[in-house]
Amino acid sequence: MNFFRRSKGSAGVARDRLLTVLVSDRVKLTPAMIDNLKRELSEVIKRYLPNIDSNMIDIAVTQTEDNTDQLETRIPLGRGRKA
Amino acid sequence: MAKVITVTSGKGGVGKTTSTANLGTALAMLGYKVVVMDADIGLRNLDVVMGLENRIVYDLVDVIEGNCRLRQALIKDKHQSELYLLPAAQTKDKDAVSQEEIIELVDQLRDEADYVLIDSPAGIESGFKNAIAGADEVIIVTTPEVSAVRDADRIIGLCEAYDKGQPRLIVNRLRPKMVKSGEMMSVDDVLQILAIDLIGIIPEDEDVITATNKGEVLTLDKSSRTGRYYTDIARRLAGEEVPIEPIEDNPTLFERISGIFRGGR
Repeated sequence: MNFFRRSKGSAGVARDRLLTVLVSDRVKLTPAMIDNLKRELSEVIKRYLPNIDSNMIDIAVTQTEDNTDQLETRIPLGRGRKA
Repeated sequence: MAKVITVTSGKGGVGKTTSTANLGTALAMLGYKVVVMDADIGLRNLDVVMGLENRIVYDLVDVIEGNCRLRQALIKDKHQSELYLLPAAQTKDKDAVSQEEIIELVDQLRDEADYVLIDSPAGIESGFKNAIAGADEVIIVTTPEVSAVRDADRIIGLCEAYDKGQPRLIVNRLRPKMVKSGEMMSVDDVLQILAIDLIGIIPEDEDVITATNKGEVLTLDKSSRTGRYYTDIARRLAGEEVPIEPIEDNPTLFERISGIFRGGR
């Protein structure tokens, strides 16, 4: 018996998969499109903030407390004061 | 004037027809006059679930086409004197009726009862649209599975698009033991994902299958726990404040004892 799998639980996997698939369903934004958006966005941001690590940029569709969908972007600027 | 409630789901096989039959029966047992209408034209099933299949003479399409009067097509339930079935046509397809015709029929039904429950077909096509066209309120049935929840989400979006207000949710076929071991999404998980109000929880219950086999509706059995959950939902539909309690796996001692006093098991 695979205890590790059991303790993890398939319900959590179901929930995560649903949340992802519903984003594409609701906003009509596929994971591939989000990747594209992320790449293009980081190109633009890099023009202004060349020191940014584009791998750290995170874009996701999330839900606010009143249940509206929103596009959330996180762009860590590091410790700053470098310039 | 009846309140018209459509029971729908998106995905097939999650318990729309069973829920319609049980809620209709429960509302009738509470003393309301109820018409349950099968809107699944071409694939009717509410008649067999209620054990009324041998009594059908006219159907919904006959009423719309003027082959009979509305009251001639209403079939009286075997057990509840204030419960009637308006069956769907079996030999025609969904395009036999228009949305306007269904709305007109539903408006006629409003004068006949306190509650009209419409059993919607699966899917998001014209049959579904017809089924919700005349509704004052929509109830969505889902099971705690990815496919059913995904389809429910789509239906919720469509209900909003058709100005049907926010639907309320029945989580059907819940297995508390699996939820506890983390192998089934909980009611809270489903509610968080769908972001709508819950109207009730129905556990997985083999008795539903045996009741359906016999053409009896489980809610008629006063010792049935599932039947009581349906009755609670019916009360909430009627506007009563009935708290929704989490479902435990085995009946509690109290439930077993009260079950004995109700003459069951």
